[in-house]
Amino acid sequence: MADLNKHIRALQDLPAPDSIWDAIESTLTDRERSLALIRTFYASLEEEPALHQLSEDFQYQTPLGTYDLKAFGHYHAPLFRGKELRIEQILLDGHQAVVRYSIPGTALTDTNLATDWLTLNHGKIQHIRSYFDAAALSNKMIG
Amino acid sequence: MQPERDEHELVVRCIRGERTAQKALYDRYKNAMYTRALRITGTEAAASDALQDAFVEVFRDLEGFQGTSTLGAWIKTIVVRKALRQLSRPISFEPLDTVEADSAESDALAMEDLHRAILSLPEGYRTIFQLVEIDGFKHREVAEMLNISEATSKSQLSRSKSLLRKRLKPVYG
Repeated sequence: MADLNKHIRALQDLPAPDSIWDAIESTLTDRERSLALIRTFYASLEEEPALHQLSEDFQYQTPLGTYDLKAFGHYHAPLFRGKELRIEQILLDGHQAVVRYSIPGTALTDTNLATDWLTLNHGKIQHIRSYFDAAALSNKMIG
Repeated sequence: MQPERDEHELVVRCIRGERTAQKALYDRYKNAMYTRALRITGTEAAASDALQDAFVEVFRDLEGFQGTSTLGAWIKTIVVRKALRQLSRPISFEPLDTVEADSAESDALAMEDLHRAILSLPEGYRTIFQLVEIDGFKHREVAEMLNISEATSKSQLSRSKSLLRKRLKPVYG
């Protein structure tokens, strides 16, 4: 097999079709667009732009219940108005995104980590499930 | 500029999201990785899908690349895993005596003939031949990737070589 092994080592690569890069670039562009939207949404903390980005079937789920689009503003306003959310990590995979962030000194919680799981459709947030430190939040609410 | 330094700078620019750098990195590895994916999947369409998935993952995870291996080796591992995932069913491993050697009569073996011979191997033989003989993975690593025993990996490689030898007998005797 000596000659065969020599030929195997000398095997040349085949050209990859150009269409593959086009598909990669398209996927990367979609992902970046989604990422930009999420960053904008979380960084602005302004209700109107944030609400504008959310679709009508938006539902917001917390350990304390599920809230619709209208309740979203009422629920978040006292918590987040004037506060800075610090994004710790964003993971994107296709139409799913996971955002981990901290909420420093809100009305109900001390500095806390929270995680949002977002479902995206063409870069638009369709659904969010949020996971807070349930015990700390419940104690504050009950107390 | 040193090649390593050049590649490091390219990686940094890719992490920043510079599309031209991402394209340059892709161009650097695309043909080798495409050929690798093709030999595992056996079809151009599946190889293209595997390469696309792999490079999207490469650019997503590049920031976490620790540098414990070369960048090429890291990309190769991702491509191989994506290619294996393209195989919709478990790889079938056939006993040697069920596979008949072709009666190839070519006098001179061109590289393309060797390509064809490898691609014509049964799936299990082809995959293990590619992973061990061409990609340089150890049998232990192949066994882990394919969820088979090391003994199976070794025997399949041996059989794949025997079959290749038979098919290419006119040239390699």
